[in-house]
Amino acid sequence: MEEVDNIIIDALRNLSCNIDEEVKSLKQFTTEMVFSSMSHCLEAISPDINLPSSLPPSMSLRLKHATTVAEHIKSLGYRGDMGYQTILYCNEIEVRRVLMFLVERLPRETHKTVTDELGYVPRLMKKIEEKIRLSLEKPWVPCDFLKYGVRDCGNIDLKQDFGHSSSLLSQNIQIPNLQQGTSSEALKQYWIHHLPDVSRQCDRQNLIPSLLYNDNKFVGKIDFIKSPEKKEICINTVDAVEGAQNVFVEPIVINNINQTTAEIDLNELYNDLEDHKLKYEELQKTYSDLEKQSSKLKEIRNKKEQTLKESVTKIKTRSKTLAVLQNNDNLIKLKSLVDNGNKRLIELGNHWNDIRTPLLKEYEQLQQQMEIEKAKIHTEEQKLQNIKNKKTNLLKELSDKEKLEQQLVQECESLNKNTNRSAYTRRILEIIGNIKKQNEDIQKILNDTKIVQKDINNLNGQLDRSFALSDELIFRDAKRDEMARKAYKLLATLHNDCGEVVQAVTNLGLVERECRNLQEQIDAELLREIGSKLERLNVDIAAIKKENAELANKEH
Amino acid sequence: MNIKEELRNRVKFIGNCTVNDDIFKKLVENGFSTLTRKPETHSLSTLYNSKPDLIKEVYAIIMTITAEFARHDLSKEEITQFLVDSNFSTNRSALFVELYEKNKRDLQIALGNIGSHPPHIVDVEWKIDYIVKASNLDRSDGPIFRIALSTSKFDESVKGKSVERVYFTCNSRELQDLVYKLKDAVRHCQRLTSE
Repeated sequence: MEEVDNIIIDALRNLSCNIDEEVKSLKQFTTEMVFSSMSHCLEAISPDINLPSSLPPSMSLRLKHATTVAEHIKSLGYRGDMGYQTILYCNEIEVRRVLMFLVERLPRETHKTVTDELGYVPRLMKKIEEKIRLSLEKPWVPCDFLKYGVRDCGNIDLKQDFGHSSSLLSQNIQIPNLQQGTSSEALKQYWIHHLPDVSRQCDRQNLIPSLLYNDNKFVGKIDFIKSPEKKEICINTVDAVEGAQNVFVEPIVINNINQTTAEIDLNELYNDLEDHKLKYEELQKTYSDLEKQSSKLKEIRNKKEQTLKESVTKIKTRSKTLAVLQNNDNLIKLKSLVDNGNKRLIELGNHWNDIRTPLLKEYEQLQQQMEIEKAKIHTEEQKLQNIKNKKTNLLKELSDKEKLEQQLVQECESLNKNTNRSAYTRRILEIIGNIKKQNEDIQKILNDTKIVQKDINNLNGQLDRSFALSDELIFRDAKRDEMARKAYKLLATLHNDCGEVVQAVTNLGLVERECRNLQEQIDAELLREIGSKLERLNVDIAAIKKENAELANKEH
Repeated sequence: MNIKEELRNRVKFIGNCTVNDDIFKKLVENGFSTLTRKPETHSLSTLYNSKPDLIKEVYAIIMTITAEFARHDLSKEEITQFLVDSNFSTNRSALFVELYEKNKRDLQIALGNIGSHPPHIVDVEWKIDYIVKASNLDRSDGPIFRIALSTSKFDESVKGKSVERVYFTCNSRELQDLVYKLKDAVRHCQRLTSE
């Protein structure tokens, strides 16, 4: 039984039931474990079933869950006795039978197609094959029923109609770029007030290509394509140009009128016009020259006026000082004042030096500190960069390791199964060998018993024959001899007694056999542990009664 | 993933910019609906506020990276990684990823609808003619098949689907040949799938 238990427990562990490492045989299974392993098995067999994986504390709920599990097992075709009692009040043998049945029904693990390991091209091929298969399998549908010609097939979209596919055309679109600090104010104004959104800058179907590809943009500066910046400048210079044009337009207009009135004088007028133009230009030149001259002159005049003012003020102060200097007292006073001023200047200079030196020192110190801090910051930045790099590296490694781990886990699982299978086959072979040996033993014993039976039969026959012979002989003598008659009677009683003894011995054998049968039955009953089960049942009944009472109380 | 350095920089700039979260959300929603050719959910001009140029830039860049993501068929995680690397806050990247997941299929359909394709056969019209008598001595064997394949293709002038007919005429041997060729093609496809 050990092998069977091992197989069952192994299968249950593969189903990720929580079974402790210490549990080695079904004897150690608790009700909880039995229930959870059964529900896990059922869920693995038919994934639609949704069962609780553990028993609730409430007794009535326990009963309910156990009955549903039992029903599910019965519906799978289990023939033995199956009810809530098998789960809740389990004994080893029944549980083993049920679990063996369930483990046999477990679906074989379907090997998942591992597409992750394939390269790009095989994956692409797989996809293509899948799509072709789908389009062959799916029934035909008119293209007009499809939105954008795309058919929804679960995970994959099938493109069945290309009538909506516009060709790849990209248009030049402008996106404001605030990041560039160099953009001029005018350009910014253009972005703010005039530039439409990208979605309105081009056709709807051209939006995505235009966003993705800038093949309309030319690299380098080409004059015949006006870049947006240049356009903007044009807009701004328009006013200036218009202003300038007005000057030219007027004579032309007059000229036009002249043309209509006198066509004959056309040439003359043209000449005149040319002359006038020349004159006009000359005049304008001279005018501008003169204007320049006048502005220059104005400047010179301003300068001279300024110098004049300055000299006047100087003269005023000079005259004042002269007036003061003419008085002697004033001179002395002034001298003392000057001396005082000089002294104070020296004092202040000293004072300034006193204040300045510590400040300078401090300044230098601070500068040094700043440099140190800068260096520190630099090293910190470098550290940060290093750490970032490390982080990305570690992340990469982590993902690599995780992949490796998955692979290893898969390999490990496959390896495990292989060893298991070989172990099982070895065990099965051993068991078969054992059974053969036992069979031979049984055969030997059977032969022995047959021989014994034969001997018994032989002896019986001999006995009968010798009895009959002696009976005849003694009976013949008994007619004549009194002693012989007695001997005959004794023989008859002896025969009877012996027959009785043999009968008693055979009866004893029968009784012994019966006893052994009964003993076996008793052992079987003892194995079912009915007493303890009944106790548990009683306890559970009490719990249910309690719950019922509580419920009744709640109702009231 | 192959995203140009310039675009990367601009996305980083957007990640840093001072656009209100609510407006950002509306912009992203608008971007998705525009790319999937649905009407815009919010009127853009109401979102302009004080910085129309910034809003325009954010809008354009969001649509560009969305199209790039869908083109490369990126997964949720890769996008989150990219956005976080580009200084997006977790809130914004989560919002973006959620909308992206919702619209990914439509986006890819929209992307799939770009490109030139040969016309697609949707229907066949046919008739069988038989020359009973002709002025010249040419012998015509058997019936003549006149076939018109209705094909659908994109019409630049209409900016939509249009049906174009392809006419041809063939005799029975040529038609047989065509049918065999078609069957061959079908068998080839079937063999591809069965392997």
